[in-house]
Amino acid sequence: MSSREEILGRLQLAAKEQKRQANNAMIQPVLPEFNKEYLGDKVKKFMELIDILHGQAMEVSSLKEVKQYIDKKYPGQRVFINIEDAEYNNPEEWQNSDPHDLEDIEFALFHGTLAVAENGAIWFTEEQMGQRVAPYICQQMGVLIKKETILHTMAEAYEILKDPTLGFGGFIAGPSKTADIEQSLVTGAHGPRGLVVFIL
Amino acid sequence: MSQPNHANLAEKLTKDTKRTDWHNNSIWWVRQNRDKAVFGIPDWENLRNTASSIKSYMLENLHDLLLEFEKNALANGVQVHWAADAKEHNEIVHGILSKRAVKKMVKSKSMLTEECGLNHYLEDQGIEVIDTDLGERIIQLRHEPPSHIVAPAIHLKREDISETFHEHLGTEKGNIDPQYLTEAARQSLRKDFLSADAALTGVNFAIADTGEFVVCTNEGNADMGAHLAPVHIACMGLEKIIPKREHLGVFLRVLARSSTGQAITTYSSHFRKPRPGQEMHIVLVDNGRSRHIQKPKFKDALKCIRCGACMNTCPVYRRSGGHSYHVTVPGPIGSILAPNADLKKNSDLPFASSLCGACSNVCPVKINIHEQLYEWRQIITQEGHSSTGKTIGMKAMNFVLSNPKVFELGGKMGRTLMRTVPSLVNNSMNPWYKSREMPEPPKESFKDWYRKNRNNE
Repeated sequence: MSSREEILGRLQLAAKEQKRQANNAMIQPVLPEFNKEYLGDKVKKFMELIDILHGQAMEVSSLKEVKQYIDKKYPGQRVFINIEDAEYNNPEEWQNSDPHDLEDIEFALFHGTLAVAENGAIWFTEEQMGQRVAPYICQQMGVLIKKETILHTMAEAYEILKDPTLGFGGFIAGPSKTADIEQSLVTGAHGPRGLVVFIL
Repeated sequence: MSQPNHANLAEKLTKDTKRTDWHNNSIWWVRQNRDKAVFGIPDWENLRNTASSIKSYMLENLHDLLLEFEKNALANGVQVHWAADAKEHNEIVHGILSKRAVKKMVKSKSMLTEECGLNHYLEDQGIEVIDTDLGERIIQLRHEPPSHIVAPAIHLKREDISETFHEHLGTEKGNIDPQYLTEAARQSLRKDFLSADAALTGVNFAIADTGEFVVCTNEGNADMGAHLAPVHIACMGLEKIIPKREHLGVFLRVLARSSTGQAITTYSSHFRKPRPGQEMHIVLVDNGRSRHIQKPKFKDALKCIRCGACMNTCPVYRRSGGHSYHVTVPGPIGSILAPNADLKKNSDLPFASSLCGACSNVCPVKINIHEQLYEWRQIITQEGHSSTGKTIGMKAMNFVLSNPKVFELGGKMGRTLMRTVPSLVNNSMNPWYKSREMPEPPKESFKDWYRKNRNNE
């Protein structure tokens, strides 16, 4: 008998025994309504959280403003832009290159699907990442978030995200960090050393 | 007793009082951060109840959920393997790696592979394994086991780490700045990420409904490894399954808050399909779990999401350190998991507790940890695995307490002896004397005092 059959056999036995002891089978728990009033204004709260997470959040009125920020801060450095408004994106076809080639990206800008006020997390699909490794390997990370996509809680986020269609996606909350040396917080463990969020 | 036991192993830390205090305080600081994060949300108890009931549902339906998960993962193009025990797990991983002639594998934190002794196994087969979580890298370079499941190097001071990095990474001697040391590790590990032929990660949650798995890190090391390497292997214990993706809305809210006091980990990555050209494998590991689930009194320990909150709050863990538990998962949760694996070898662990119940109170999935500790003590004693000293002591106590005459005489003798020959108790042979002063012996027993005073109010 294969290990698979052996393991499943034992689990089936355990399930039978449990059902025998309990009178009726347990139904799958239904998620309760969670409080969101305590968070107050969600945009303000989200910006506060980004600050706590050692990131930087700013409200902008146009993409042009974002472009100016990038041009001023990273002149002559390798910058990747992968946003919905294609005219700002790189002409370079980096989305299909070997992921190892992205090692020297200084700054990368992505669109986030949605953001969560309670913890500062932003959701990205692999489409928005351009390449899965891009938001993790860049030295500095930028995010564009539309104000109306900021939500209160994780429960609301998963209400939207519950049926995935793509192969990879993830929440990112702040720059990469570690506190493995005597609990001292250091940003820039392996991933981005900094995170800037533009709220449009 | 020749086998290692918690009390003896703890002496490595406790003989240095200053270091014990430092250890205690630094871990208590994490507990305080957890409190701040938890008190910040009004729904905390509601979240704990929900998380606990989802995990109860998982335990009752594990057979069906695993099949559902397997079916969906296979449909996503992920290869699924089943391992009955640690040995089979290691062989499966090695099999995948040797097929691709992998020379170097980067690994993010996985307590399961630690439990299976994977690193040594692969190293013996000539495969280089690089732990990439900073804390794990530190202890790997020092050839030590982790002392905490979330912060593996929490027992080390920055001076120790500086010394290790000077020796292995060529950092400046005596530079103890955490920023500098972290940067050195970043530079060195980046080279490993870029040159690895395979990446292995643990799994925080696996979702039956979508066939995907979620990996949480703060450093981004799981993603750096998995998205660069041509092969990604994810290893998980059977109990990591949850039914639906929306359940993450509960678990991701409680995990980091319980663990470090963060609202969420920096990275919560949802792996569903391999990227084009990549191979993705999931290894489902039993290693005792399908037997553990058959024990009604103890099965709830399998709800654990490995946040470490019970360790951070435990007065015994904080003062004895993770290494004194001689198993992969230390602290209160480790002490109720370990007897399932080997009752005799781990019979000391359920006694490494004050039964204060702090662990159960902070557990985000509401495992009755302190009650299980107590239950294990009954079984261990019944099966004759309790230590000889404890057995003799208990028998003596039983005799004294059930004979009032003996009790009275014993008390009188004790008081006299403590007064006339204090060195009889104030010496290192007496475990109660360690790091405390013995109390002044009273002049008379309460019974004598009461006899004299009962009539003159």
